[in-house]
Amino acid sequence: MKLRGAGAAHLDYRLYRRLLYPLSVALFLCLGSAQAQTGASSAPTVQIGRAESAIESAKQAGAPGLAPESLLLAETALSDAQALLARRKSKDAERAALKSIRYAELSASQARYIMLKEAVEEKTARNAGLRRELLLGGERDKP
Amino acid sequence: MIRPWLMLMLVCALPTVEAAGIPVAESVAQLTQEMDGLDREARDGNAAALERLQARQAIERLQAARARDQQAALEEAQVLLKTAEYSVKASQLKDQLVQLDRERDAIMVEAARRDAALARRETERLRLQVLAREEEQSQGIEPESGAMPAEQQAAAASATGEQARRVAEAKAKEAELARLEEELSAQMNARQDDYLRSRVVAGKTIYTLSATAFAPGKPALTAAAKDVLGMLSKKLKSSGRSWSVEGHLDALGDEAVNLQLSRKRADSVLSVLKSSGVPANKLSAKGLGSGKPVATNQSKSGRAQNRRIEIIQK
Repeated sequence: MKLRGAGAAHLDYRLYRRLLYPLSVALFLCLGSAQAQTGASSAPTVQIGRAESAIESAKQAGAPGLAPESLLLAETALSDAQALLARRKSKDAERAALKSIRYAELSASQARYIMLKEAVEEKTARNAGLRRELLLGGERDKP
Repeated sequence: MIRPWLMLMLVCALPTVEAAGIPVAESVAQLTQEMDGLDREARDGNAAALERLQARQAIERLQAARARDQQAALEEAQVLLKTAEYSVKASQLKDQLVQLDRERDAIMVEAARRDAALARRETERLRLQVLAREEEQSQGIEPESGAMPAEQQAAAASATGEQARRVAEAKAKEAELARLEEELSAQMNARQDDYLRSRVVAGKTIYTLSATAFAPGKPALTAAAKDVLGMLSKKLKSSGRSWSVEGHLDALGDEAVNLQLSRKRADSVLSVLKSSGVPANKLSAKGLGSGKPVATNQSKSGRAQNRRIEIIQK
């Protein structure tokens, strides 16, 4: 009886070694991997969101008309990031999203620069016209 | 005898050493040189400081990048450097715009001075004409000149009335020009942080916006003042209170004109606050002309204080 009991315990241990142990290790690894995947996928999602905002800001700054090349690069990089994320390539998606942000910021600053340059030219001409009209008694330039 | 794992490590390390060689060093040197030039260009040190910092950090990252990341790091550094360049130039253009606004103000001040001088001369000329006519009329009732026919008397009275009206108009114009000149001078000396002041009276907050926030003699707000009001609107919105926007002016010129201009200025402020997110049902606007002065209207500084917008918590 005692021997049978010991034999049963031995069998349970062998069963554990052969089946339950690998199963519990596999389960542990799966859970760990899923957790890591969740943590990793939040970073590219955040970056993609930032890239979308940056592109929107660039558009509002006038980039479609004033800096279309860099805006197109930003939009292409954003599409790449979204495609890479769909293929679960989180690191690459994050890199592409960051690239998109950089190009969007470039297009926005380029657009702002061009707009300011035009404003300076316009004001310079307006001041010259005002000076002629008000101080020198001449006729103001027609716009 | 070299062990196999050591051999494998050496083989893996070889391309890294090769790729981190001259081309990257050259790129880093060139980018650093451009970056130094940009820093010199941003003379005041604050122009596009964040963008320049980001570009410099990207160059440092390129220097430290592993072989497989170098291409991406180089592209990032180049893009950030270009962004910093545009930002520095934009900052310089902004300064130039401020200078051009000042130049325009100077032209307007000079023109207002000339107009005021002309108006003064015209007023004086008309005043002398009225005096001469009154003298003629007083002589006209003397016996030797004889009685003036009724039609001539009516014509003379009409002409006198017309001249008096023109004198009044010229005086109003002169007052208007004087205010324009004062507002232009004040605006040229104004700083952005002078636009808005706040105080608490009987537990209620009152924000006072000075007249330098407006285009001289006009109801339109300056771009800088709109920015200031945009920031204020966040406070007003978060307070959840109702606010009354009151326009005030000095006592120069015709009161009807003052009422109209003060009302329009209050409306401009209300419109900016509304567009910045303050609910329309929490705002109201009115123009009070010169009816509620806070200082004397006999001095320039007093008049400058009286020209204001008050945003009063209800």
